[in-house]
Amino acid sequence: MEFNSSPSTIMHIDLNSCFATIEQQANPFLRGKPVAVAAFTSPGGCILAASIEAKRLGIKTGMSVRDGQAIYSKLVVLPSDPWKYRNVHLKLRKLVSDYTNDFSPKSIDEFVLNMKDYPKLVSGNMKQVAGEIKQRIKSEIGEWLTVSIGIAPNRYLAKIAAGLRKPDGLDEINKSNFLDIYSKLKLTDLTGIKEANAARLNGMGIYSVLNFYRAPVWRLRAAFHSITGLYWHSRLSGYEVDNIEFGRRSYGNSVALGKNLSKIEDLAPILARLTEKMCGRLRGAGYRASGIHLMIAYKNGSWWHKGRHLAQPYFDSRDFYKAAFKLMIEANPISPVLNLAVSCFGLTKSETLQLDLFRNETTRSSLVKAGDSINERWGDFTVGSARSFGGAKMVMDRIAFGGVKELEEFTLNTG
Amino acid sequence: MKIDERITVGMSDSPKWVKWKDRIHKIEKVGLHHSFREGRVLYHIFSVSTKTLCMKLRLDTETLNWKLLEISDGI
Repeated sequence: MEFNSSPSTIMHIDLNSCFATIEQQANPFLRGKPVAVAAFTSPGGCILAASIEAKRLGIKTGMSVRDGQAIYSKLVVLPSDPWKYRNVHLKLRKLVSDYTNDFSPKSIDEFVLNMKDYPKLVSGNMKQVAGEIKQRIKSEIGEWLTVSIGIAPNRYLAKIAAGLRKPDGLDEINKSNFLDIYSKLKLTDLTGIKEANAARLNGMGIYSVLNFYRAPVWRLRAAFHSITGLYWHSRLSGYEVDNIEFGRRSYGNSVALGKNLSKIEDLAPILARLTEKMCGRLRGAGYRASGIHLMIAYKNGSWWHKGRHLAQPYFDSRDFYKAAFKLMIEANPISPVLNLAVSCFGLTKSETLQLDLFRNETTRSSLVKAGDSINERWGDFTVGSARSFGGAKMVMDRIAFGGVKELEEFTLNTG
Repeated sequence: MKIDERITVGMSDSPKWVKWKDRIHKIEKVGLHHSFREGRVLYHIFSVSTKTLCMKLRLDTETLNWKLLEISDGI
């Protein structure tokens, strides 16, 4: 397949070191210093974002605070401030909407813009548009914020281009330079190719990105044992295969536990809190759900999970909690829990109530609606089940990694 | 450092000065302004800095009260 000769119409924007840079924007005294934003600032806490200065020292996302401070003892460690980051995301969203109505956030710090329907912008040089966006981010949102921008004929290569130079990069991958760029990349530099996929490719005699691009489709299909091989061939040839937006299929909430908890009586209030949080979001979007899923990851590296279909689509947190609690009894946790995650699936938008012979659904619905109205007026968890209040300290506001679905909710709530 | 104390703020487009513990602190820079809702109440948060301190200020738009939430010197 020849490389796509169409003009580059896709722009990928990536806010560099998002959470940490935003903290440096808010506090000028932190600028130029190694800063880390962590889930917990205690030594065992996980680093969620490292500033550009911290990254240069080798401090990375996913490290513990202890390890980060072992590399640099004066590392400034801050707790995360989700609303700060969400507001910057919203400001970015508003800014990019001035250039095209065909844009999508890929995560809290990434946007993809399709300029296909704006030929004047494309022909007038996409790099010039990108330069203007960079400038406007500095003047309208914050002068310390930098973005890396990638331009290409498809989404995948635009993302790769955005990752070529960080921070503050601006690169294009197109028909005239792709061979040169591919020759400088390793297979694992490609998003979606980690060690396991690289090993599959190696098994078919593919050791470099150029090998990967030049490999015939049959060989790629054999490497991936599926049509995925064809998709990879199209991606690397500059054709679009990733312009699919998946609808929401579930709601879920999870928590990482700092304390060593393994007794059901300790975990139950946390489960109740998570379940109520999840159900509040479910009902807020007008859904019911007919399935529940529980996942428990242990500190010893093992994990357990199970999903269950419910008798009918439910809306009441109490029904979900009951089902989730039964799953927790089945799991019978005996060693300290690292992560607890509950989610519901089988979403329906039905307005009518399924009446039940043995309980009054109309009364339940009215009670739940009254509770939701109070929480909407006075703030989350103003009213809730008594058991969920025991989990309040453990379940805090967090931003999901790559959680673009979550972004829809707060966009609606901050108008 | 968490403070959580009521303060007086001089405002003109953005905070210009903060009166805290009977001292006036002149604001040199607004690093970031963001907002969020807790229930129906809209809060504005200003991350501002004086010559020596960074302050996190909160305006409650229902009561129009200001609070100094945190101070930091970046060390």
